[in-house]
Amino acid sequence: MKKSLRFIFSSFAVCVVLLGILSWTSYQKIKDSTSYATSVEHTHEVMRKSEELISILKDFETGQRGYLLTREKVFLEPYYRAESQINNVYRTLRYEIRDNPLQIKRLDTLRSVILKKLRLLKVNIKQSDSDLIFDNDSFLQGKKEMDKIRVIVNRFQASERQLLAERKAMKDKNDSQTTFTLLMLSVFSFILLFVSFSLIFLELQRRLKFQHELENKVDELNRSNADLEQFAYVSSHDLQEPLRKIRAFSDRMIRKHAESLNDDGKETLEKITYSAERMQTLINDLLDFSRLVNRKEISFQDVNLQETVERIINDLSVKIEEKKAQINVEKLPYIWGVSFQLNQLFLNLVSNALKFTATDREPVININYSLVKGAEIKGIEKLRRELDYHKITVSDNGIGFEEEYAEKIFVIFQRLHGRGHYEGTGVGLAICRRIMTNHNGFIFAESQLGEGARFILYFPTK
Amino acid sequence: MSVFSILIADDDEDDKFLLKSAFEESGIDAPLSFVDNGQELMDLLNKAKKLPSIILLDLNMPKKDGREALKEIKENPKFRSIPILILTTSNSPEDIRNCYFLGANCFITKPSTFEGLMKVIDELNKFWFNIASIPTKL
Repeated sequence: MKKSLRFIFSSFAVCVVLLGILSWTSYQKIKDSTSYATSVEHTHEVMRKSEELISILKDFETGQRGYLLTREKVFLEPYYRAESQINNVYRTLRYEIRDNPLQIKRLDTLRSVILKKLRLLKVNIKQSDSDLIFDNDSFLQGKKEMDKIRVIVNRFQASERQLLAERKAMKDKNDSQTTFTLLMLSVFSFILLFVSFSLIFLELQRRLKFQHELENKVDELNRSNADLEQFAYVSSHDLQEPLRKIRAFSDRMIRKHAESLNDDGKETLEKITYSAERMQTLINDLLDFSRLVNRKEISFQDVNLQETVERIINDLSVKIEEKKAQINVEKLPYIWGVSFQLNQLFLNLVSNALKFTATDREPVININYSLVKGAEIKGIEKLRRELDYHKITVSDNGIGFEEEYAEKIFVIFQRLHGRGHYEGTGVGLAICRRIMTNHNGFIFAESQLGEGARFILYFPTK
Repeated sequence: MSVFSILIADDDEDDKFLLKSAFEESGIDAPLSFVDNGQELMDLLNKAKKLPSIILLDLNMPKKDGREALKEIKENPKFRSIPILILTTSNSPEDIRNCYFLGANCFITKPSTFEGLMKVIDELNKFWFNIASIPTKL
């Protein structure tokens, strides 16, 4: 699943990059279009202005002819303006073609030819004032010059037009390239986008399906748990009934028929009764254990551990006196937990300590407390390093057990001694461990044979 | 002959036998009568010329269980004065609460041993027939 997520991210990143390229390319295209439009404008301006040069000259020539024909001064109006007009147009044109040296040279040539022609025309006019003879030659000469000017202007304009054509060709080439690139990029982006979306959608579907399955599993488990609890309750009661009868009838037999029973008979019945009794205890213990596993209706609260332990010591006072045991309890904290389970836990631990006492010394049981940081506790897999833990130690000076059994003793029904030596069904420590699990805590045992045992409990703080 | 009569309602043959035996061993001479379920109990009470002094009532019986019978008896002015002693295998707090709520006079969980049963019968006899007073001539 992680791999496809990485793919989605990278394809999105590529999309972003592509969009960037798309934007930049589009921007370039617009810039190119604008600059082409500008060069079209420029070419038109050059054409217009170069035509204007000719038309100024023509105006003057026409004026001159009119004057020569009619001697009316009105025809000389262009005479005064012509030169400065030509210079103006020249300056404009010169600016327009300023980055084209060849055109500049042409323009300069054109200007000098035009000015020469202008001067010639002016000379003609002056001459005509004194002579009354029309000089055909000079008119013919004039036409030749005009043609020359025309040729230069044509060349000038042709050059300009060619420039534009070249620019257009380049623009067209760029256009098609750019268009193609843009199209490809867009298509690719869309495809990537679509692919990413599909992947995300599929991933989402998969997760939804998992979630559904999980919810179903949880429901199933809950139902299963409820069924099991019901089953345990009912079967324990149904199992108890025949056992009760075995005990009752065996017991009655011993009472009523004591005379007709010899010692062996009595002993046999006693063994039968005892077995039935043990089975009843086993069933009750199992039922207790199964109740611990079902976490449905238990409620957590701040439990005063000090009070709990004191109450247990009180409940066990008879046994404590009988064994002449000394119990020392440090100040204990409040624990976030289930009251009756914590009760059971300490009851089991202290009962065990009272049970497995050494015969040669008076039992001493210590209950100690300290607050430790999660990070300091070593060797526990599911520990949460960031939390603090309440560490409670229940230690005794009894018979202890071999270190190698430190884990085994927590297994349900596991006993380290034969059935006859110590009472109990071997469920007590399994219950203790279950209770610790219910509280998200841990329990461990340490011991040396003959030197007492230590049970260490870790409760997480909130 | 004792002036008291005891009616026992229980569906289990063995339990009936054990109770009878326990009464005999204790030397109590009050006459015992038995019914198998709540329905038989109600029928017997309705038809009886003389009502029992005390009823030992089991809870889990077919047709009509002890809880229903208890309710009916204690709601009926004719029968409600009879002391009802619940004698059952159940030890659930709900049952205990519920039975007393319905008007049971006491609740006893059947012991597992014959000895225990005898002790219970003994104590019942001592308390209900010697220490406490109960209505007669119902």
